[in-house]
Amino acid sequence: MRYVAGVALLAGVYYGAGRLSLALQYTGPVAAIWLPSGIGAATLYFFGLRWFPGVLIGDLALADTSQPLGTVLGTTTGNMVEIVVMAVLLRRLLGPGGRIDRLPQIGLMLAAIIAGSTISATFATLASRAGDVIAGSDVPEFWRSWFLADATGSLVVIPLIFAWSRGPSRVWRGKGAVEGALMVGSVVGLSALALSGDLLLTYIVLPALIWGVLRFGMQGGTLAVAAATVMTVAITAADMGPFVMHSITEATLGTQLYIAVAALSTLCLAAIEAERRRVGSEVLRLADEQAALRRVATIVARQPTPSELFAAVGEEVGRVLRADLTNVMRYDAGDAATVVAGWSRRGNHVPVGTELTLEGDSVSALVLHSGAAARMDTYFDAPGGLASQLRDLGVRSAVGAPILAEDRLWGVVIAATTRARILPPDSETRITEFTELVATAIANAHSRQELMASRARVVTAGDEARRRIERNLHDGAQQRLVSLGLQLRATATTVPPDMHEVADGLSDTATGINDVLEELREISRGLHPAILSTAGLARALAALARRSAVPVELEVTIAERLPEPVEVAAYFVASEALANVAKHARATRVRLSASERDGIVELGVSDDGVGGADPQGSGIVGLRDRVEAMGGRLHVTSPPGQGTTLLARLPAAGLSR
Amino acid sequence: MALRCLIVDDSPHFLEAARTLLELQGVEVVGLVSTGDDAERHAEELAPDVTLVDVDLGGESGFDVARRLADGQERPRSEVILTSAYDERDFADLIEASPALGFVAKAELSRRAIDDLLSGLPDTS
Repeated sequence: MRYVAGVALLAGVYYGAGRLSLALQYTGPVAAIWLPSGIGAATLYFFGLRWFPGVLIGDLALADTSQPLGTVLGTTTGNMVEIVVMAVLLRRLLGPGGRIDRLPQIGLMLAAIIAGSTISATFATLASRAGDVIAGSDVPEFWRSWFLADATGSLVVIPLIFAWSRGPSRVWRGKGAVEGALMVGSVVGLSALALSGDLLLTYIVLPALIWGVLRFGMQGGTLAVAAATVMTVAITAADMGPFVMHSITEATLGTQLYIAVAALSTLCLAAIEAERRRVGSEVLRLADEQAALRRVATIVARQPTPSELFAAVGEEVGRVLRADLTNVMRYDAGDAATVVAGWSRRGNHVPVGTELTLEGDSVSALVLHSGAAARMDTYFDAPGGLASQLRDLGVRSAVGAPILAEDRLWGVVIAATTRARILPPDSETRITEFTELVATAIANAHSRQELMASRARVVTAGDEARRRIERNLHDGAQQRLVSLGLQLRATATTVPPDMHEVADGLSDTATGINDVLEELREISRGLHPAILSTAGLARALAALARRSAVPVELEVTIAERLPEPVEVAAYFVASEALANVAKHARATRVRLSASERDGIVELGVSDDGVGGADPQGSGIVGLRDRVEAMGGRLHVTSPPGQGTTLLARLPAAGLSR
Repeated sequence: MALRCLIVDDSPHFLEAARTLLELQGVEVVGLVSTGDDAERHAEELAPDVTLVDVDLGGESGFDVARRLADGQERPRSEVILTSAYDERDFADLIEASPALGFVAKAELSRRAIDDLLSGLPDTS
């Protein structure tokens, strides 16, 4: 039923177009512009060859019954073959979709039209000559007129239908509609002006055609050409204008060539314009993408927190690819992954922290198993829980690229769309540019961690060596010297009273030994204070405060033992800071505080001295190195005249006790 | 009766030197030991008047040993005096907190220094 209706409709349109063509016919055997062939070919191109009866019925209805039956049948057969050949060739050469916005496509369409028109003209000429409708001498001109009528008509009609097959574009909305009307109006007006006299002024229509193309693209161009065609043929048919010549065939030829050249030029211009716009938007897209990459690279260089970086990548990838949602996932042991960032246009992405089992089909599973970029063009009926979860979010298709950090498959960045259109084929490459930045950031963070760890190891090993040297000094040299001193004093007591010079000499030597011992103690304390390992940071700081030249106000709330490297670092920071106060600050008092909260040890040293300490001075730089080697931070404020405050934060958690 | 003294220290050189000196000064050195366990046992058996304890006995803390000695005493009180090659100020808090009678720097060790502490005189060292 629908088929019959469709065939009837096609036949009607075909017949109407034919009548219109014939109505505009100049007095003579052949129409100047034949529109039905293009309509038939475009219809069969879009809807399939099975609709050809509509063409056949329409064509027979148009037949000139005054001609012999053989001529009518031959001519109709030629038209049918022409239309089928054009439809098939267009389909083969251009593929589906009716796209003619590139120059090669214009050329291919022209080839299909020429092939079809040649067939039709040849059939018609032979049939007419055989039926004696035309004389033998008329054959060349008859063939030429017929060929140009079909070719020109198709060249106007087919691009018009192709360009408008997807409905009017956005440029026609609002003010565009007004401008479009003005444009078509000026084509009509200029055509009327050009054809009103006998002078050949038709080229004045060209600016209006160019207007149509530049402002409205292929749709504007084809519409303008159609308007110019109707005007030209109608005015010439009314026996006016420069194309009215001595003979009908000359008038026909002039009209046909004018329209063919105008149509072809307009089509080419429109294709070039479309190309220019594509290049323009591609440049914009690339600039957009480069800006997004630069933003991510800037974040990478800033040593971001992982969540900050992943969130930025998720959003930039989503925007650049015009996706609807994105996920950044980290692969865990086994076929599992954790969502580390998500972004979506409507805020309905998979929540961060979600742990997924990668059973069934999904882009994340494909990337995990191949180690390369992958895509799923549809999640419809894809097996597995993850796929159904994604379907619930409205995901229809997705593309993902791996994050390869230091030759290891670390994770994946996925862009998905909830719309019918799939993501473009270069999406994988474009996501990869982002995943490479992520990989760099991960590798950087890893290197930094290694560096931090090795720095801490170097410092800790140094501290350990100093502690060992201190022990050896204490257990060895110091004990021996103490014992020697006691022995000397013991010996002195055995010296007879009359040899008091000897006794005095021995006593002096014992005193000298004590002086040496005092020096050794001083050195030992600088190497590693015994009380620190014996009694912990609080006691050691108290001992430090007692020895300080500047009175110390002590406020230590750390009761328990901390990991040794932390105690040593905190102690030496305090010791150095107090020494600096004594040396440079001209302070009357200094406050020393130490506390631990949430695994962070805070050590503060503030004095009421002259301030103005140089933050780049060797003393402060040395302190900073020591604190940062343990993963801590040192803040120094020292405004002139307002004393110096030094605050060290040392992480105490995560280190072995 | 001579002052009876037990010395606890992990340095054999010091033990010998201290014994020689103190005995020359009229102290009866009843034992030389180097661990907390030995110190406890000897203090129990020999009941010295005073026990000298090094604050740093290798693996052991002299402060702990002093506390054990003080806790274990039932019979007439034997005083504990801490010694060290370190400076007294380094351990002031711990010495203050310990049950020991006082502290004598090893280099300053003498009968007189012990007597001064026992008689409650301020440390003159």
